[in-house]
Amino acid sequence: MAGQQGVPQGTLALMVLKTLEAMGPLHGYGIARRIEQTSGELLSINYGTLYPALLKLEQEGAITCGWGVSEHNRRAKYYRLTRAGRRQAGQETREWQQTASILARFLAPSRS
Amino acid sequence: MRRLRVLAMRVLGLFDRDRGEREFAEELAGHLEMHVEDNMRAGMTYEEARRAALIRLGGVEQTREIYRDRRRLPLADMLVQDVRFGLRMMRRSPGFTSVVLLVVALGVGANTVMFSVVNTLLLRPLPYPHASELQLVQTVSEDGRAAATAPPDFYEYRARNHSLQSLASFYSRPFDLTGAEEPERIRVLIVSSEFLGTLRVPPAIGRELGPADERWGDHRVVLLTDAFWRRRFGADRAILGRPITLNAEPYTVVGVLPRGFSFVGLEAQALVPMSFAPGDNLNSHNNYFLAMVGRLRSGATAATAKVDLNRISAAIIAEHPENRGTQIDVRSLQAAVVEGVKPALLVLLGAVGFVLLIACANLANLLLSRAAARRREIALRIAIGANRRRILGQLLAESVLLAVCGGALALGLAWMSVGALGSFPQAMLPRTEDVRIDGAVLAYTALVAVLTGVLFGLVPAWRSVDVEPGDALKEGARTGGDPRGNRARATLVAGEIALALVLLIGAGLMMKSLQALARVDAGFDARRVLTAQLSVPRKKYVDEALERRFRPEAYARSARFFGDVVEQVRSMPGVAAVGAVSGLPLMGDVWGKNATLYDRPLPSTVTELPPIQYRVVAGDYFRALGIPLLSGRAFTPADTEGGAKVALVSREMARRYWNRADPVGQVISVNPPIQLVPRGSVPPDYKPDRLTIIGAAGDVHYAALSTTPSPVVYAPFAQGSEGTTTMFLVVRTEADPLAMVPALRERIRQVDPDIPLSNVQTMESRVSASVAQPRLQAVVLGTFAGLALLLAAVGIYGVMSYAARQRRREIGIRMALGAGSRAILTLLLGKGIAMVAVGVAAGLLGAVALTRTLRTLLYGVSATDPLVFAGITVVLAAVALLAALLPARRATKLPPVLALREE
Repeated sequence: MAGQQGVPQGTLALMVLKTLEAMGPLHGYGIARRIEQTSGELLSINYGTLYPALLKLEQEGAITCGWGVSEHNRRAKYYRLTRAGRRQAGQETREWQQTASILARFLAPSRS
Repeated sequence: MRRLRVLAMRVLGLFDRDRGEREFAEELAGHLEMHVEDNMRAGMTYEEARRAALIRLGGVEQTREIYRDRRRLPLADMLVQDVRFGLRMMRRSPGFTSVVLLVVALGVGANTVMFSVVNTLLLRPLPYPHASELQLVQTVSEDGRAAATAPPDFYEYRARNHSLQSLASFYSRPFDLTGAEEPERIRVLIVSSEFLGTLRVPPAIGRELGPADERWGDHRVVLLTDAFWRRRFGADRAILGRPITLNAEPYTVVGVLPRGFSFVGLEAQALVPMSFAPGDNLNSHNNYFLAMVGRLRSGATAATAKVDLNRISAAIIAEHPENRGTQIDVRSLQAAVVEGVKPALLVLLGAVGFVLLIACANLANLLLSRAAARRREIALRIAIGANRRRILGQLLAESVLLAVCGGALALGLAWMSVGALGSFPQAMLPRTEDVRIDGAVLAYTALVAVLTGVLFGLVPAWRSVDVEPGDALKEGARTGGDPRGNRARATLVAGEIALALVLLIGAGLMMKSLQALARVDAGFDARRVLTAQLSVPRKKYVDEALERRFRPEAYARSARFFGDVVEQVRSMPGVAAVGAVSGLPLMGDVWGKNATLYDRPLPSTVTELPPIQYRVVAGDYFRALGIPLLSGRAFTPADTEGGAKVALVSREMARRYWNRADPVGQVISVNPPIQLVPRGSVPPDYKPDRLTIIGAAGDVHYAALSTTPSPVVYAPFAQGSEGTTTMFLVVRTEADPLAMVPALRERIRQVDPDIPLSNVQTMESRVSASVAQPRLQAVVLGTFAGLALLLAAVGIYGVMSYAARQRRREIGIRMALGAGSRAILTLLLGKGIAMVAVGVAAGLLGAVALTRTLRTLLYGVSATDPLVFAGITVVLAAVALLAALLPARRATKLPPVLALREE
């Protein structure tokens, strides 16, 4: 798995929110796989840390969950974005974009 | 907001933990199946696919653990678990548990008791509504010494101040209650009419005093205390409105005070209004005897009230120069009440805290040894993935649990001891009857218990988890070295020794101070001397008309009574000498006057006249009390009204005013000459008696053993220069003084059947009571120090035995190779000596810093008395070394073969 890297600190929650925003309700495994696909298989999620992160978002009220039936006819827990979660996603996106653009100025080759 | 929501969710999570667990298990199982299926689609076998999925998940159990922590409040969960675990451990080692519980119960219990006393006296307000507004208002002399106030001045302060809601004055006098039953001497508080209103304590039944009760003639009303009402009148409500006979006058009972009413420890059985007949000498600047208590207006402070009252005081001085040099001091009544005991209480609270610290160090050592035994268990748990912080928390919870259980036992002990405190006399400790376990005491005990648990648990717990699992497991069953643990143990023991040394030195200083007090020459011989108080009612024994004219003959009847009593007692078998005096030694400087010395020019005001203590005597007072006569002669029966007026003075008087020369022949007066008395306050024919000094007596400690004796002037009552209605009978007996009491009562009844004998005590017990407070302090501190020494010795003993056991194999090998027992002993003792040396050095430094707080409690010994420091250090070092020597010696006695076989 050369070239793959772990999820940077503090970004997993936002990735989950954006994934749910894009895909609609999903189960945990689906979210994880989707994040990996979106990253172009560059990220490798430790699935063990995904569930506590989902729980945290649920406790914060950003997502809700309920039992549904998966594509393979199996009972699975589905997570769905709430209105508060959508707001949170928007806000955190803006913050990240700002951070990224600031950082980009530092990382760009100096123009002196 | 979001945080709060999370917290709420997590708290809720605590309650349906089973459902949460089940659901997550199902979710995880689903996740794994999906992942396995995906993997198999990618071409793996089922086993490979499952293994890969598990690796990516990072272990089912671990994931569940993290999830669980996130779902609920891990802290609360852990706490429940840890308490369960702790209880299991307590049950599993009952011996260890009971030792710890006992030590904690005693240590915390002692702290609880001390704190409940401190809480009552220093922290809890006095038992009156809005007690913080109450102020003690005092006239003080220029040097800040408290003095009393004269009634006319009180009336001025009461009428003209702007800072107080009310100002009351009071003084206490013995009254004789006569009537159908046995005559009885009671203590009466004579108060201005707003006294109860100032305290805001309404009577339980009946009415308060009002301004009308202060009017002379209408003043014969009385309020009874609850206890006295129950004892003497059988709690009869019909007593209201009925007269009782006090000092041979009828007083109408108008009320009964609420149960438990105490005016900050002043013991009294009744309250009567303060009232003076027109022209009464008491109501003049010749008599200063009132104390005052005031209640601040809202917005006023002690400081503003002081300014306000001193404005009035200045105005009074402008009119009455005899008040010059005095001013008014205002301070919190609460602070004033406990002033005398505050330093001692704080010292004792600190001392008992030290004892608990030492106990904690011992418990920590005990736990450290246990931790060493549990090293393998803990190493194993860490090796299989337990979190160190989690284990640390668990161990701490165990010790805190122990401490809290011990604290509960401590409360039980404290509750029992607090009950016993109530029996302490007021003089020793004020307000003891108020001491109880209240919310503050409970909170303090809980806090101390938890702190204790953390304190004795932290170091051992820390040491326990600070293991390399590999190393600890390799050590095997052999009790290997845990060098850092040993260092921790040695440090703890050194700390114990230091603390114990500080306490012991403190106690040593107090003991030496007590000894110094006991060695003080009180100026009299207390052996086989009986004393008793006798008071005659003014109505019957004082001619008040003559008294108003300042005629000494006013007290002639009183003088005759005491003369007759002395005569009656003198003829009793077994009596060696008998006399009477207006104030006994060690009762305080109770009757102060200003003397006029006629061999020098008069000063301009009364207050500049030399202050002296005045004592009226009858019979052979000096011989009865064994006070030596230094020159001249004592009073004789010939010194009567008709003869030349005479006086005796004390050595201090001669030293101060006649430069140690023999004062015999000097002429003095104990009342100011008419030039210095405010015009109009005395009749025109006022002429104080001139007394010729006929002898000098030895100095007597009238105030207290710890103060230097004041100059005293003695006058024979028979000549009545100034009279009294209360005298103390002093009887020197040939055998047991107390055996004389019934016969003595009989003799006095023959003189006047209405005069009760009260306050009967041997002089020896008066002497001993006068040092009761310092003795109590020394004994309590000594007990704490002894406990500290014992605990420290146990600590050293424990650590040394542990070290010796650890090194058994090493010792065995050394001895097998030919080392002598002396060499082994040196080897083992070295550590012990180092511990003791470090502890003693630290303790000495601590003692130098801390004994300073004792300074106000010490008499005749400096706070850094080198003899005490050296002596105590030697004793402590000897005990400590002995405690170290015993286990070391035992180790050398062990046959090497046994030691080697030890596994």
